[in-house]
Amino acid sequence: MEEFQNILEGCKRNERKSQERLYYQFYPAMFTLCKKFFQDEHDIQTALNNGMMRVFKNIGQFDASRGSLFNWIYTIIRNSCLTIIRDRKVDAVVEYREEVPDTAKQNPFDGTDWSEIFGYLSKLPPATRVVCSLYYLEGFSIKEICDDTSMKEGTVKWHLNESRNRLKDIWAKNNKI
Amino acid sequence: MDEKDRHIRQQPGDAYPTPEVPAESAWSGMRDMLDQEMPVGPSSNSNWIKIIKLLSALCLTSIGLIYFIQKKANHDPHKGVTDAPTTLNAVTKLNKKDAIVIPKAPGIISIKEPDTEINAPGKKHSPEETAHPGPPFLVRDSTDPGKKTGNRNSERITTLKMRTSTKASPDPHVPGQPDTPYHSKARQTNETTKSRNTSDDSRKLGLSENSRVQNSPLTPIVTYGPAENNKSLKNTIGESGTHPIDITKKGKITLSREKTVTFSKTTPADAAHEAGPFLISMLTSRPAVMTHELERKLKRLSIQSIQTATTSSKRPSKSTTILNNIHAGLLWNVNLPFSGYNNYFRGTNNTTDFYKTLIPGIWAGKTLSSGNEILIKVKPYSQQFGSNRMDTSLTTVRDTATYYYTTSRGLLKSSGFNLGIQYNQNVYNGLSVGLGANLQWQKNALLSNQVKSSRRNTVVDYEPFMSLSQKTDTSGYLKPYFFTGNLEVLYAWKKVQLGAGITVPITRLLGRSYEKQKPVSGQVTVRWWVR
Repeated sequence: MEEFQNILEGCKRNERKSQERLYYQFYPAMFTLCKKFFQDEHDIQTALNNGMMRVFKNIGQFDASRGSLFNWIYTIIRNSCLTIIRDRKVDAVVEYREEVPDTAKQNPFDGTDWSEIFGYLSKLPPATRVVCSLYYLEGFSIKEICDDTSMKEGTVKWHLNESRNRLKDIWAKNNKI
Repeated sequence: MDEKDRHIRQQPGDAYPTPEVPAESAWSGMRDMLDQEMPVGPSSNSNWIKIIKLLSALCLTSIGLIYFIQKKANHDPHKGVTDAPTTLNAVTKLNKKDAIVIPKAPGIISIKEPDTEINAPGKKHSPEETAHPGPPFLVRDSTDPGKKTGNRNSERITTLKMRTSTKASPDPHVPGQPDTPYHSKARQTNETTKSRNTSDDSRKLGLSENSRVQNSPLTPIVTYGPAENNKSLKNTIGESGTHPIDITKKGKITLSREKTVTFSKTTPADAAHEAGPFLISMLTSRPAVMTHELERKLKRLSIQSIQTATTSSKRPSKSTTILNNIHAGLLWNVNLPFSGYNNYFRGTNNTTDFYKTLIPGIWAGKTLSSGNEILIKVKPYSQQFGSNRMDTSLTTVRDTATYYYTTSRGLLKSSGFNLGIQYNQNVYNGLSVGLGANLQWQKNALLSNQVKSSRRNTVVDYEPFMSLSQKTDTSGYLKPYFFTGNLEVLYAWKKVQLGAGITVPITRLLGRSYEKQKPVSGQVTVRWWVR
C-alpha cells in the first residue's frame, strides 16, 4: 500500500518511472477493457493511451475516499473508448428499426472465459459490439448507452437484437434465450 | 465516481488474458505522448554531464594554478649572484674531448660549473680546485631577462663559492671573498635584477643591464679552471695558472697539443649587431613554432628546454620538465555557418546574446620536433549551426479519433561545451596546417517548429525560433553530444596565431531525426600565447 502511495506521489510529480509502474500495473486490465469495444489493436492502444494520458494529467484530482484508483482509471479509460466511438459515428452505420424489442438484461457471458468472450465479440460488427459490450459486459442501461454513444434508443435495441441473433450459440449454450 | 462504479465488472486482481500488444511497446507510445504533453525536467544523463563539467572545471583550475605558481617562481626575489643578470633559454652541451668552441650567441655567455663536486661531503679540495671546482661546462645564453629558472641553484653555487674561496688565491675575479668588490657587485646586481623584474619593458631593460654588467670590470662572467673529472683539462689549466679566466673577450685556452678551448664573448650590443634584431627577438620571446628557425640561425646551438640547464646541480622531476614544456594560452574560435548568418547572434534561448561568442577558450599544447605541436582545446561556449532545413522525417503523431498531428523541426543552431585535440604540422616558418577532433556537448538548441494537422493538411502551429534545452528534451531530439573534425591553416605572428578552416560533424547532431544532419561550417581561430 505504501508502495502504491509512492507511485501515486511520483505520478503527481510527473516522474516517468512512477508513471511507467502505474501503467504497467493496470495495463492488462485496461487492455481487456478496451478490447471489449474495439477489434483493431491500434484502436485499442489509442483508446488506452488517450485514457491514461487523462489519468496522468488529472492524477492530482483523484480522491481515494470516493473510490478506488482502479475504478477511477477504469472509468476514465472506458470514457476514452466512448469518446472515440462517438467521434466515429459516421462509421457506425446502423439500421433503425423501431420494432426491435428490448432484451432481457441478462449477461450471457457470465462464467465465460475472456478468450471465449472476445471470440464471440469478434463476430459482431463494430457498433453492435460496442452496444453489446456496454449492455452485457459493462451493465449499462439502454438509456445510458444512448447518452454515451449518441445513438437513439431504437438503434441501441436493434444492435442488441442483432447481437442476440449473431451470438445464438452462446445464448443457446447458456440457455439464456 | 460512485455512480459509475456499479457498471464496473472487472477487478484488479482478476485473471486477464495476455494483451496482444506487449506492455513495453504500449508504454513506448505512451511515453512519447507524455514527452509531448507533459515534459519532465532533468534528463537521465544530466548527472553525467555534471561530472564532465566538474572534471573540466578542475582541469582548468589546475592549469591556472600551475601557471600561477610558475609565474610566482619567476619572480622569486632570492636570486643568485651568478645568474642575477642572466637568464638562460638555450644550452649547449659541450663535448669534453673535442675543442670547446663557444658559439657566438647573443647576450651574455657564461661558463660556470655545477656544484655537484663542491657539495661532495668530505672531499678535500686543493686551493686551486676549491676555487675552480668542476665542470661539465654549460654555455648560457642569457638574452631573455624575462624568463627564469636556475635561480635557487645559482644561489647555492654562489654561496659555496663564497665560503670556499677564502682558501683560494686573492684574485679579484674570484667570487666569494666577503668584502671584495665582487661581492658588493653581486649584491648590486641582485638589486638590479629585482628592479628589472618589476620593469614593464623587461626585455630592453634586461639587455641594458647585461651591458652594464658586461662593461663592469667585476663582471661575473668568469670561467673557472678544469673539470674535476677532466684530468687533461685540469692539468692544463693548472699549469697555465690557477686563476679564473676572464672570457669577456675572445680567447683561446690550449689544453694540450691536440686540444684547444676556444671561446668568444660578445657583448649584447655585439650580439645584437651580429645576429640582428630578428634573432634577438626570437631568442627573447621565441614561440615554439620558431624553434627550428632559431636552430637554423644558430647552427651550433641545440635549443633545449630551460630545465636542461638547471640539471647542473639538481635534476628536476620529470613532471616539472613536462609542465615547463607545455605552452598555453587563450583561444577564440568561431564557427561560420554556410547556411546564412540570420541567426548568428540569436542565442539558443531565443534572445540576442552576441557577447557569448566572445567568451574565450583555453588551450595547452606541447611543441614537438620541427615546430609541430599537439594541443588540447577547451571552449566553454561553442556554436554549431544546422542546415536550417525542416526535418519532416521527425514526425510525432498524436492520435486522436479521426485525425493526427505531425510535428516537424528544423535545427538552426546548437551551443554547448567543447573539448578538442589538434595536431599542427609546421609547413613553412610560421605557417602550419592543423587537423583536430572535437567533442561537443549540446546544452541548448534553437529550432524552428511546425505542427500540421492531417485534417486538410493545415499548419496549426508554427514557431520560427523555439528554444530547446537538453534538460527538457526528453524526446531525445538533440543528441547529448557529437563529434566534429576540423581542418585549418594557421599563421603565427608574434604571440598570436591566426587560423581559418572548416568544421565537419562526424556524428549526427540529432537523435530522433532520420535525416543525418551533418552541416559543414567555416571556422576562424585566434590563439594567443600566454606562455
